[in-house]
Amino acid sequence: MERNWMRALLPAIFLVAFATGCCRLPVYTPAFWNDGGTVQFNNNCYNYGNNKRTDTFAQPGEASGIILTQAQMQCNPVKNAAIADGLIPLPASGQCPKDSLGEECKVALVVDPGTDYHWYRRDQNGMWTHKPGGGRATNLDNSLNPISNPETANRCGGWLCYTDFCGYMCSCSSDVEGQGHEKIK
Amino acid sequence: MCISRKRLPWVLAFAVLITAALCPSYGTAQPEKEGLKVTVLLFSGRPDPVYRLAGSEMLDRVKRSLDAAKEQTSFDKPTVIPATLGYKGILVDNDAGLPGIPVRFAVYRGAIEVRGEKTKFLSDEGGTLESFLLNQAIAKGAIDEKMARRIKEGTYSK
Repeated sequence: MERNWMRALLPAIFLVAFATGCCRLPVYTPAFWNDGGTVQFNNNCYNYGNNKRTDTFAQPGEASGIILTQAQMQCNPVKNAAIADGLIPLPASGQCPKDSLGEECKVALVVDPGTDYHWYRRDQNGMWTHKPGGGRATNLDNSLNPISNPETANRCGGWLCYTDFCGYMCSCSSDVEGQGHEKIK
Repeated sequence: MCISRKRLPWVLAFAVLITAALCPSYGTAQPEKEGLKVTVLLFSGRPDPVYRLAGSEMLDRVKRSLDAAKEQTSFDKPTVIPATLGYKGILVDNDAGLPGIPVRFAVYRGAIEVRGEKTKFLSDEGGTLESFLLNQAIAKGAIDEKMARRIKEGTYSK
């Protein structure tokens, strides 16, 4: 009797396990990141872009042993480090991979050459949001305008200017905040 | 009870393993924290500049600034830290538990946010405390020359 129950539940268990492991578009949920404490100060733009809380101020490539130097804060080195983490460059179709269960999240990389990098992510509503380092997650750019296009967003201020737009990539995110599936560290 | 010479190294190794397992700090004694941990909230991706502010003269200066700061009862934001790219203020952690200094406070553009059971906001008149902490970051080399030049020249300051 007990075995029959187990057998009946198996497909459901597999389905739940499979569905929770697949890629979904994130929902803008700033309260998760903006706690004014551990989450906010230990998760940066790369954590937010990949929608993955690690509390380590994650760095592109670090999970694969790549350590970016300050001089490597340029488009290609940061992009390649992100590829090592599992992100993929946006296909020529302009669409991130999708299947019947969900799709990968579009993220955008910009750099202040030789100084720093920054990531944006595209949420379920089609708008872009970001988390500037240990600051708060926001849907506004440096001119306090909502971000419909990271290429034209104001990315300068406070002694930094992320002048170089490096392009788009795809990340296996989640609709549960902080639970993205890329291997970042 | 007698332990043979052959077995002695094994017994000792076992004893060390047991000690390490039972005592988490075994072999990893942390040096005592000195002064305050100061983080300049500057970058988005790479780690922010961090330094320690120590010495009675330096710490007295911080204490005096905090004691002299008047409370801002009309501060209308949840925090002094802005949600923008670039410089976002300075975060100070009193992780050494120094008396007379809050456990954590942040300072940005004339305002000080003191974290505690109840968050309160103070005035940093003329940005004195913020300038002092920022200049210390430059003097101690926590902020690299390129960034120090930008700060000095006001590059991308708007």
